[in-house]
Amino acid sequence: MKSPNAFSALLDIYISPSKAFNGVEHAKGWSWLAFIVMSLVSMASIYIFYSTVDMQFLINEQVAASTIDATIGEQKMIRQSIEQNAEGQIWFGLFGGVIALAIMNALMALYYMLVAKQDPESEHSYGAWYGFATWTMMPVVISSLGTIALVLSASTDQISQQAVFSYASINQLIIGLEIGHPFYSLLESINLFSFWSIALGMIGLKCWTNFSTNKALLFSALPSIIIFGIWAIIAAS
Amino acid sequence: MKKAIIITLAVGAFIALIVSKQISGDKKQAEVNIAQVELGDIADSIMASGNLVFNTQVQLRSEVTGRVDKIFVQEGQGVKQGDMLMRLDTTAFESEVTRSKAILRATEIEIKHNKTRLANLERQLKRQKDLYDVGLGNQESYENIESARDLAKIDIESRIESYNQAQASLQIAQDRLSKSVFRAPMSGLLASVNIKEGETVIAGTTNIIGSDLMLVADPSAILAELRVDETDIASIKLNQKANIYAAAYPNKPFSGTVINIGTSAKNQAGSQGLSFKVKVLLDTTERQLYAGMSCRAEIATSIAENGLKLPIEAIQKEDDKTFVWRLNSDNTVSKIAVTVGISSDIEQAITDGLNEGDKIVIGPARPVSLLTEGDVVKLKSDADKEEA
Repeated sequence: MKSPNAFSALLDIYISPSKAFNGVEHAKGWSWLAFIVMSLVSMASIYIFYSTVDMQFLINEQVAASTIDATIGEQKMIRQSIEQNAEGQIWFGLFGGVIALAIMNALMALYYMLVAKQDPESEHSYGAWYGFATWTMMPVVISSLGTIALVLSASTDQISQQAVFSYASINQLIIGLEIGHPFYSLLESINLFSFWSIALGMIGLKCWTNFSTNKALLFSALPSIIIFGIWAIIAAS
Repeated sequence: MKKAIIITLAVGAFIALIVSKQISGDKKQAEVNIAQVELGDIADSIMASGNLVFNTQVQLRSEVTGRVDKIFVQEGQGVKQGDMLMRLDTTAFESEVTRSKAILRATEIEIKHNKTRLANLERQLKRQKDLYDVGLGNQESYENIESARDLAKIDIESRIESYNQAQASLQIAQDRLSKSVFRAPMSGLLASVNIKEGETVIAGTTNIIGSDLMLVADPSAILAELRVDETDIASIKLNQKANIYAAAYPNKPFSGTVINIGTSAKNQAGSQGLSFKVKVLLDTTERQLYAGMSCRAEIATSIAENGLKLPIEAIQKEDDKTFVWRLNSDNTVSKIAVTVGISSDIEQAITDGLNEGDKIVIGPARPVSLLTEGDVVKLKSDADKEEA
């Protein structure tokens, strides 16, 4: 079973991922739609956030996060630096986010292409794997919709950046570490949508290659394990 | 079917997550600092820096070049007018006087010599005339003697001028000798002695200042010579009061009065701007002060006496109007328009709009800038106590 068209695939990736991957495998150009949708929704969430938030509150939050162990002189310098760049933050967020997405997809595509070589029958081009990586990132759309909902339903303009962008993180849902803890950033970065992407990767690899479930899961999770593992070692040291 | 249930549960869980993470914020009560309107004086003042000098002081410099033979005084010593302070080696000067006297005497002798010769020539001339009158004399001889007599008279005149010259030289040498001894020009304190026995002093010329020898000063009156920036000079008037903070007494000011205001702006070394010299005469004090000490001054250019005043951070501005946030008894704030008077660096005089004892919000700046009429506030000291 496979999605009949790109628009169906956009829905199927959430409710029936294998249908979506099967449809994408030999389709041309569907991945562009996914990338565009992901970029637009992500940019919309960032734009709505910066348009709604009290900038001074945001700057104070960023200064507080950056100056935990700083001297008063360093705090002043950091505050000055953040205030000078405040207006550029939104543009950086909008376009930086899209560029980061593109680069990450490119790296993941290369990774998938290399691991897929273990299946001699898998003959997908780099471009196909790029599309594959894009579809595994589709949970970003749901995450961004959640951000938009939180920002629009907030009853104050003093909105914490962490609260709306990392609302599904392990730290915010379970652990509850404060800013300044060595593992704070790491645990804020691991969220439910990361796991969802790993699951999509596993399903996709099973559809496109002859990997077993465990093998597909391992290879899908491996980049995250390595990155977060190294991060954890650095944070612990 | 199973899939539909899972999807429904997932959507429900997502919505529940969003709802649970919803951001609500009551507008937090601003924590503010309060000050009360007080009655008191405010001095609008100008700051300036400068140095202390003695009101009357004389810098002794040498008019002659020579080696110091003896110094009779020490720095810090009191002296009376006319006291001998130091003496140069007078050998050369005395020799010069002796030489001048000798030249004078030699000139005197020459005059005597010429006068004697003149008298002799007068006699010869008379004899020759007598001989000529009885026909025994020679006209040529007579005329020669007459000419010699005239020349002798001229010689005497010349020698008299030489004598005057020698006399003047003697006076100069005597004067230089007298200048090798230095006496106190006035009674006072030796504020500085910059020379030692054996050193050479140089006399001043057109382009060279002579050696600084000693500074005699009257310590009874001390001046602060201040450099007032050209942007502030218009507010300075004679007889204004000033507080002078000497470096040695940074927290205990001396009081003084402006007695002189410079009339020309000067460039100060190390600074781009122009400044005027303003002299402030310090009131008599028992604390020790010395010339050269650096000081800073606050000159009170205007004083508002016994008026209402607030810390300057209490004053807010909107367009051209000034107002303050007054704290009411129910911890709400009200916007009160005020009229302001003069201000110092830290205080503002209020001429209308408030009463003594009114509580006014003074900060922090950020919460105050967000206040609106009727907002409830918390006093910062109370908030700190609660947290404790």
